Amino acid sequence: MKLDKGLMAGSSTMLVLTLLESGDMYGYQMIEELSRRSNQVFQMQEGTLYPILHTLEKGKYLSSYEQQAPTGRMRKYYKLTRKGRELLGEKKSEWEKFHSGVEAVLSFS
Amino acid sequence: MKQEEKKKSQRLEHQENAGGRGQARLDGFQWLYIATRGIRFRPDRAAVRRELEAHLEDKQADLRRIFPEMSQEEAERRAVESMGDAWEVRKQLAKIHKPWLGYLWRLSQVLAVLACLWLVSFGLFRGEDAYLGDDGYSELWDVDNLPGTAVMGDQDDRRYLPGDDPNQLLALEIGQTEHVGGQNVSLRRAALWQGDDRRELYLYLRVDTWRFWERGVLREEWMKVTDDRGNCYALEEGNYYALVTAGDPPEDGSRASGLAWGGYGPFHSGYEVYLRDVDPEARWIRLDYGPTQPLVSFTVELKEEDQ
Repeated sequence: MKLDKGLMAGSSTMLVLTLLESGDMYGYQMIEELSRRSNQVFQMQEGTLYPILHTLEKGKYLSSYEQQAPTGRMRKYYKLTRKGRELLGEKKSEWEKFHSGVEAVLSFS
Repeated sequence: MKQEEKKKSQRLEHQENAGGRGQARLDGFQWLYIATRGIRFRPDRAAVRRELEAHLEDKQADLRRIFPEMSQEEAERRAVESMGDAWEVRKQLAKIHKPWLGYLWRLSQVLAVLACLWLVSFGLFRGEDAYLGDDGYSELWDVDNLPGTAVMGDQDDRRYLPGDDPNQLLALEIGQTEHVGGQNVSLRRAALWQGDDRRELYLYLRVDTWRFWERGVLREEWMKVTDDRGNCYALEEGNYYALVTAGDPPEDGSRASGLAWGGYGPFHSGYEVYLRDVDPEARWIRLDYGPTQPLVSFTVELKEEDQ
């Protein structure tokens, strides 16, 4: 089932930050991990991940470094900064509020 | 390969200039070209392109691993498809990668290089005793960057080196070095001269430091000169020439002396200390440097003059 793009867009920053909470990753790895963790529910347009990553990097929520892959190609890894962890905390708490609000409306009878 | 890519870029640029926003199926090169074209600062654009290209290649490799029968062309087509709308990605990347930030960074690099060049040229060609050129000062300094080796018309410029002048009583190459607050302070040379009616002692100090912005500063008020006879040689303010040619001894009974800046380079400064009225009976003089307690002390033996 394909999700409404708007639903993904609203939470993409939180999802990216959450992925990096468990370790440094490069772009393609994040897409794969997101798909795996969501049981293939979250299938984002892969190119759109990079504007999100670059925005977070410019805002110092992420830092990056390059590392050589076994194929010889340089890969750009992203790392969550302390500022990024704080942002993730805020995003999660926003999400909790939103989620419980939606739940409350849906379960109202 | 490079030629082919160049041709493709030119073709895409031409299409774009003509107002075309191709909806046709894109290959990997075209997708990357369109997605990154909005980044106007070229080094940024190249870096983003490398990152996206790596993603496309990873995707293709994964597809071919999962579906071994899949052709390279099909894997590329599916990889490009999964990247999404190149024009949308381009719009977003262009918004994030502002060119002025890149240009500002490049400008700061250029300024840093210019500052380094200035520093080197200043040290090599402009410093009075750290030059390579044959300028007006070149006769005043020897290969050790110390003053006074050249035979000059003005006797002040040849006061340090041993010579046959009967008025030169003593000339020493001392070379004592002390470390003070990150600087190396050394007493390099001393010379005692018999003036018309008094003895004059010249000391040449050099301060070396890698902190070029400090330029090896010595504080005049921290300097104290005494001898074994209990005389104190007070430092007077003013330049060297004024001190030699004019001025009465201070009223407190101390003997006149002075400090002048003599020579510099990017990582050092030279100082001349001169005692104008050295006690003829003094066997040594001591130069202490420090705020209250001396941080550095240099002693110059004057005994040789009697030999």
